[in-house]
Amino acid sequence: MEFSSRARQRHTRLAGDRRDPYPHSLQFYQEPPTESISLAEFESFAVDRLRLLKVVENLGVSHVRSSDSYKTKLEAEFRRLKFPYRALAEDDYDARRKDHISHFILRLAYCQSEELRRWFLQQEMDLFRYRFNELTEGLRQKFLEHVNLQFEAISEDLKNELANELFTSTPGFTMTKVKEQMFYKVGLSDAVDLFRARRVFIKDGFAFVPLKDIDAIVLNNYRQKLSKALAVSLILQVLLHCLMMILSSSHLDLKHINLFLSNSIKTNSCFIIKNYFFLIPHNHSLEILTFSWVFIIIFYRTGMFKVTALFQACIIFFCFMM
Amino acid sequence: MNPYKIDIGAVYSHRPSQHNTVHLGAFQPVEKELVFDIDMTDYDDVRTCCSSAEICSKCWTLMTIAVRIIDRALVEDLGMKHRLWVYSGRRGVHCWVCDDAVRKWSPALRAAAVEYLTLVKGGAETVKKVNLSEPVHPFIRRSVNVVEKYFEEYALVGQDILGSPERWDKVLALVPEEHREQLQGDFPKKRDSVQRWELLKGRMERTRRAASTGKGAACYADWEIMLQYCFPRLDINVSKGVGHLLKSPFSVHPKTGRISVPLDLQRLDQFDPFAVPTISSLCRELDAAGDDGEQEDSGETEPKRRVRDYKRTSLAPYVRVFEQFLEEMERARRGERLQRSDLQGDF
Repeated sequence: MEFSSRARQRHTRLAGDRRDPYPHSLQFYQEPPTESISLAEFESFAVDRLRLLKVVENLGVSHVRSSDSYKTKLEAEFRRLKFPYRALAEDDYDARRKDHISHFILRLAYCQSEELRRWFLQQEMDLFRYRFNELTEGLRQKFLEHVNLQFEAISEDLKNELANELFTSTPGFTMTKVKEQMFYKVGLSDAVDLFRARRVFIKDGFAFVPLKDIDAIVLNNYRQKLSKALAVSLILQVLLHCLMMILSSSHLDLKHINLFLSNSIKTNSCFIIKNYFFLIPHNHSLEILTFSWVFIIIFYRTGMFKVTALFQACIIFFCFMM
Repeated sequence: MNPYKIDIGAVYSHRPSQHNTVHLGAFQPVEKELVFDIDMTDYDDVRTCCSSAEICSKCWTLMTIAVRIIDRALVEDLGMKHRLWVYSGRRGVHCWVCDDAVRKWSPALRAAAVEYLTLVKGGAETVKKVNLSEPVHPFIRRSVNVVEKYFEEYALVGQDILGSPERWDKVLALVPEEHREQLQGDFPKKRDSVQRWELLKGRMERTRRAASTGKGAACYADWEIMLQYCFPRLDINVSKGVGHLLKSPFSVHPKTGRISVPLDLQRLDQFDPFAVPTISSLCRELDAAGDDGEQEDSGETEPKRRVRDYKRTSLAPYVRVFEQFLEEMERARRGERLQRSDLQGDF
């Protein structure tokens, strides 16, 4: 039964009936997964990704990051743990889904302290850099379009006008290469490392970056997004921990709780709630603290973050005491 | 108690006097102009006329060159529009960049801008501070074009850097081995610095012409010498730190008494730092103006008369430069506000 429904799902995906949730093997992890998964899958995904990140860390220490031995070893690890690697979209769905979900699970675990956040950020960056550089130029182009990174390619006319400047300012480029490769107009704040070393042509506050240097910029962008997301995860996690307490102790309907939360928090919270629910033990002695949780939600909603944090600290303290 | 010196820093998230009442982390600088400080003392290794805090009309050209090079880069490369150049009062110039976006730049971005504008690297121990290699970035090329306009008069005639064997040895130390001996032999045969420079420059240009046809490597020693002797030397710490304070325009320099006046870029070449009014000369002018004025407008109130007095002193043209700068900014801001309100449909 299960098998045939799986095959049917795959078939409809190939036929293009449903919108493909994972059009690229790489992603910025901006949307949290919205499906429910079993506890076994939850655990195995998390463990596998953790293993992968640890391998990334070890290889990063013992090898030069762009060397061939680094690449082959990491590739072997990808295959072994079944993460997306150089496969066509149709065959790769499971690996991409695993990649997506496991990232969010680890994000939950690693947002909790500054040190953990830094470690997670560093390994995810190295992982992203490796995977981005392994993409072909065509796929890289498509990925950039997909994530809507506002890099406009300059027109042929402009390129011809600036050809001499581009040739003298971009190291490693001959005139012919300048004529063939795409150049992108990027804001100065995105191209900091390139323009400070004078490795790119700048004019009127914009840098003209060739496709081959775009990876540094994309990486920077990814780092900013992930850093912000980790900070948000932390707030969410604490808040929703409290929510789970209420749910389990006061039998409030999930719908009512959701009314208090804004839309973006809601999508994140559903994922966390569905899976976290398994992990928090019911503790009926917390019923007496239910009333304070309502205050927490109200404070959060009205933006009084400091008070919320104080309240949460007290509540968590009490939780551990009981 | 009146202030005798006013330094300007950043705009903070809370009033600075209350920074103790807000917990650490919440008291942050919100925005600050991007500032550059060019000091004559940083050029001591290439000046023969003066040293440390002294300046003279001969070495002031270094400041003119610096302002032209940096200003060109700020406008054409970095896309900045509102810049105010100010004479620091004794031995250098400051630049205040006040574009809205630039005021919010992070320290990392400011440091990157200074690094982009830095070509002279190395301390007292380094002999050769500028090293160029192919391909030469357009920024360097354009800076050399600016230096070329002033080089003969400043370096060859004024500083006479090739005037005597000790002097030209210092210059030849910057030239690669393969050309040095030949030049050392030919230099005594020429009459003055100008001729010797022609020799050096001609030789370097020949190597570049040959290299473009594929014969041998190009040598940019003539450019490197020009840049080492004339290219601006910025202090990165002044520009990078968002908490750094810098002397306000129109303040009085405590050691010389001169006013920090804005520079008029249209008349930059005619600027004379020794003609800048000092506080005492201004007081004298004000007294004189006050005596004449009393006959005319005896009906006016005190503050009104005081406000108009500065127009009769030698500070007037400098205030006009400042007012023009402010008008530019006002115009740009009004334009932006109109654009924004048009977009929001807010009438």
